[in-house]
Amino acid sequence: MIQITVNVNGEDFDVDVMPELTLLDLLRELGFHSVKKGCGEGDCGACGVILDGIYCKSCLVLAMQADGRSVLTVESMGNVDEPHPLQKAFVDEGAVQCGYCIPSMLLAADALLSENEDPTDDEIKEALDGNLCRCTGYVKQINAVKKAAKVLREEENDNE
Amino acid sequence: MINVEEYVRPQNLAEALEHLGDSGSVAIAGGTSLALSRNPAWTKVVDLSDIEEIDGITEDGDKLHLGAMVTMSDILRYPGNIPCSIVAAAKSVSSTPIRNMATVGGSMVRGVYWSDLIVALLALDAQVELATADETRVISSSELYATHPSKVLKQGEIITGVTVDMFKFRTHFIKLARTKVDYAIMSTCASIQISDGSIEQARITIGGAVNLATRLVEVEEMLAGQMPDGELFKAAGVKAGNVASFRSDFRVNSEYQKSVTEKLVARALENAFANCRCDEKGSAE
Repeated sequence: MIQITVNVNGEDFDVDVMPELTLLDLLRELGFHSVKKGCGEGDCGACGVILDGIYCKSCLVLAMQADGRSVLTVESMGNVDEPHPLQKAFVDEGAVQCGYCIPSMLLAADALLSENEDPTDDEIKEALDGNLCRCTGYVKQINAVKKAAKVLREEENDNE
Repeated sequence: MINVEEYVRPQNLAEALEHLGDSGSVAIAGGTSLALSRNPAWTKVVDLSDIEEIDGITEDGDKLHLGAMVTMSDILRYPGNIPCSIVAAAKSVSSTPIRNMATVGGSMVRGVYWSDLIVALLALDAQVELATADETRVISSSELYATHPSKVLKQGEIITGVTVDMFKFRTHFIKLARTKVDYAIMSTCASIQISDGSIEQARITIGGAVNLATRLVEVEEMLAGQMPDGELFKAAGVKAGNVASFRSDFRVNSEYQKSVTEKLVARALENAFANCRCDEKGSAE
């Protein structure tokens, strides 16, 4: 067992992990069930998290690699009462059906908007190219990201 | 990772190389290939992610240096000059979250048949920097891939970076895959150095359809000294289809591999000669 400390959504967790444990499995053991296990081998993208500011697939990160690092899951973005503009836009645009791929897709979109406040359709498609969705057909999510980007830009202008 | 007992994340290269000298040690870079490995021989994981000496993209005159820990996304974000074939290859690697983690050094040392980056680096005569705790050396990418990196790297040796000429070649990379994020069915890169209107030298590489990215030296020799034109490029494509040793691929048969190699090598040459149009930033001249 290897002793690590990992910060998830602002809270430190001291845990002993098996060397082969992935960050995905650790997060789920810690109760962060928004991080989904689909393929478990880096294809489907349902397990995406933000690790020290970088959007990645947590099934391809060993838990021990996250020692001393910070992880953000979708719980850090918002909740039912106070949804993040991306979360609200995904619901409003009907970009969510079964929801399995959505937490990771929201984080991918958030990572994009943190670098690019007014992305083109192609830039959104590229940012979401690691996320498989078998329900909605990859159109509504793009509309949702554009809508949220607009809301976030307006919020920023209002604050200036 | 089943028998790993120790995980270390050194802060400098010297310390990392000391650790890697121990038997059972394995270096982990982006981890996209290694995280799921169940190799029982590994007992210690040496994480290279905090070592600034082997990270970052730097320019020195007409040379471009990529540190081993540079990710595909770092290449795409770099605002300076990068040969467009490297940019196109980095862009064609899998999906955004993989590009965010997969590194230059990791891609090079793994040497998988579908690697996009190696095809581009080989066609630019990339020079590869290697280090152990005791020595550093520089070898050509051709030497690294003459067999397989696992046979070239010594015990405890890692790739620390790679250097290419930024402006020597006009260059173009093409990947053929069923979807944008799929492994290459075939990839190719053509680099040509033009002098007084003729081709002084050429580098033609293919990947995906062969066991390991390789230069097609016979095609390069055929092009050297010739005046560039469409007929020559077409003939070079035909030759490429004839000389390449295709791997068996359940997705496509060898006839198909030969046919796309002919077409895409010719197209890569045409586009390289048209002064590099990878639809991306970066320039070859």
